[in-house]
Amino acid sequence: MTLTADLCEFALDLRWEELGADTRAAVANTTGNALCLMVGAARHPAVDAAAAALGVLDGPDTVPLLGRTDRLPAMWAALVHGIAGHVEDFDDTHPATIIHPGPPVVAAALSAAARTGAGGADLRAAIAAGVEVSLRVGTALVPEALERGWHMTGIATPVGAAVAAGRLLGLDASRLRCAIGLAATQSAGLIEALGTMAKSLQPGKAAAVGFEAAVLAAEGLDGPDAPIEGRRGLLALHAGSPSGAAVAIGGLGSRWELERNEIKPYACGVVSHSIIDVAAAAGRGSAGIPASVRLTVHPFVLVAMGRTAPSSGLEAKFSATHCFAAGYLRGQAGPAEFADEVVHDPAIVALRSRCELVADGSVPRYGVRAEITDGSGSVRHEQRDRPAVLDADGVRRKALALVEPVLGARAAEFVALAFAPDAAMADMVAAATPPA
Amino acid sequence: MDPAIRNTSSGLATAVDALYRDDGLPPLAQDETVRTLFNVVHTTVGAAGHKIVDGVVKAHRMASGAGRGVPVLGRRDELDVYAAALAVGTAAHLDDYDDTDLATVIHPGAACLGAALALGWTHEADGAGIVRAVGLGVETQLRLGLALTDAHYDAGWHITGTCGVVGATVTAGLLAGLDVESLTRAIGLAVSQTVGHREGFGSAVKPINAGKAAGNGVLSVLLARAGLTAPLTSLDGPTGFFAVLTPRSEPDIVLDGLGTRWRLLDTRPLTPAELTDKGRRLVEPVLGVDGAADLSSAVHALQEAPNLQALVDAATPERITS
Repeated sequence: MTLTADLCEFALDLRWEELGADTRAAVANTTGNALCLMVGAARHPAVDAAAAALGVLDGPDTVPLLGRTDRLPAMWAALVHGIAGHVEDFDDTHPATIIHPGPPVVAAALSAAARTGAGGADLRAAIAAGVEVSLRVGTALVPEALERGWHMTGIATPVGAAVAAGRLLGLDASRLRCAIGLAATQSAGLIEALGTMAKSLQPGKAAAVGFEAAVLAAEGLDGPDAPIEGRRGLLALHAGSPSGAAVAIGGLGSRWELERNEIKPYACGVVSHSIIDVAAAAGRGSAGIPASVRLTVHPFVLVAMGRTAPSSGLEAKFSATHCFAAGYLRGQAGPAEFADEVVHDPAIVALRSRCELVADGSVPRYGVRAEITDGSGSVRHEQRDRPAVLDADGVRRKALALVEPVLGARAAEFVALAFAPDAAMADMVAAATPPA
Repeated sequence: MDPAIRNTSSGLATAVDALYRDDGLPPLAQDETVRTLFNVVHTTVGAAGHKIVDGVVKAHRMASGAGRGVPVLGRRDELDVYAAALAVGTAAHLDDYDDTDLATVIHPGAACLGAALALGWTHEADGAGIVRAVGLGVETQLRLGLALTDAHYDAGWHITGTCGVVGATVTAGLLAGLDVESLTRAIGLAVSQTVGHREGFGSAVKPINAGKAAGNGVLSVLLARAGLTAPLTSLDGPTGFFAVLTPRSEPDIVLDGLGTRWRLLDTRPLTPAELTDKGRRLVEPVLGVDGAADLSSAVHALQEAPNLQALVDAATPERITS
């Protein structure tokens, strides 16, 4: 078994110009979406708090924070960017693993690129390698790691972040393996954190420790030969067995898991997106609010999104009943639908309380069966096996809406650079500076 | 929320906060903590010049000038609070010559020393406060380790990192003056940052696991103080620390008898004479004969020291010129 070695070889051999159009488009979407989320959440309370906390730290060089006017040492900029990209739970999802790879990998790559001056294709190739490695590792971890209660993003992306940063910092295959070892041992983060800022700390930490692992490996620190597939490595400890390694490696370099990464249309846990689709459809053209709503979902939905009385916006992102109420009454579920005042809005609270969640293992993880009963007792049945996905135009519209409140007139320029495969790092950072 | 779920993290924060403020460590527990500190101070100084520690220091060197950071025990470098904790925790565990709790196989001293030197320095804690904060951080680790049962280490986890990060958070949080509510959140943030696969044994990853426990403890305290939120059920929720990190747990152990029954008294591998001799052998190559004697005295005087300055001075290697 040589999973770690194969992943290192793959990551260093990857050439941007040899990637197919679909692969490049997927990388551009994942990158642009993450960058625009980082700008959009630049003034989120979690981002303000983390930036303030880490302002006391020092380091060899500093990186400007996107959408803000302050800078932090490279490792800590990665942490803040990782939080910012994920805190609205509006980023991206690889459905087979429920990993959100964009923010942690892009954040680590940004800090490494800032150090070396890399941009354009070098930066995109590093992100492609980091995202693909994260998703391959995740493929080997599911379903066991998820069932145990690990936050998949927290345990699969430190390695991917290390790969992206390590490639940009010029590590050779043997040092990249050490970086993966230093990162893998720090795979962490529990589902228990959902609904609190500790959840977005996990991709933030993944970015920071991935970057740091690459730097430490460059300074000569070593690691084990098989940190992922070894007897006491990542797969054995988080999933109970390294048996997924063979699956993880299949078709590496020819088949791309990153092409299956989806940009989130709604700012909440992905397993309730079908519920929002159903709610928005039912709410359109309906005068009153339902008398009762019965939502039959996969049992995991109750684990991840079972909160029925959320007390804050972050908690509401993990309340499937809040998602239904917001979708039905407001027709959408962007960051605004998870603002604290919406969570406490009497109409939302009333409808939330009329929703019942029922677990049924025969419903797909991303699906729902809904029975919506109106005041006269007539029942509307809706079923979705998986949510609708954003098309390319939808991804750009989402990005622009995220950054406009922060960047104003420069928003379109930043979005264009964020999604462009050849944008120079310096231009992108300059465009992410908010107007004075 | 399931009524069967305890609230171990706030119970722990409440208990250690009271024990810290009320000088609640009995003399035996204080003496044992000083022994633990004596041991890890000496292993740290002995390994401070190792290339792994060099790498950590170079990776995190400060851009601002001297006098702005925390001195790294056994070196002439200063680093920020996170990196100083990382470097010291790494050095303390580097030669695998630190302390060991035989019941849990935890080496609790390294993570707590790193956290204590970093935030004890910036908050100008006195020696007695350092000893109490380290004692309570060590006690926390041992209780968490016992609660995880043997099944945790047997599965392949490096328990020094997984429990160490919470113990380091307790030490750092007490020295930073966090209130109980903030310390509870800090513990929740620490549980999001557990470290350590035993696959890394035999490489730099092993000491880095201990260093990371120290550094992540400091980080948890900085983030909690700034207002980051975390689950109250981080330890005992349905997908919390005990549910996920071990197939079998006994969570009641964490709070049972905390403050009266001291698990840290169970750690007694060396006699005082053996410990003194081990310390001398570790640091003489770095500090010289006189320097080694001074360091030993500085640790023994820590309980009465107004701050960490004398300990740091005694551990600084330029004195070998004599």
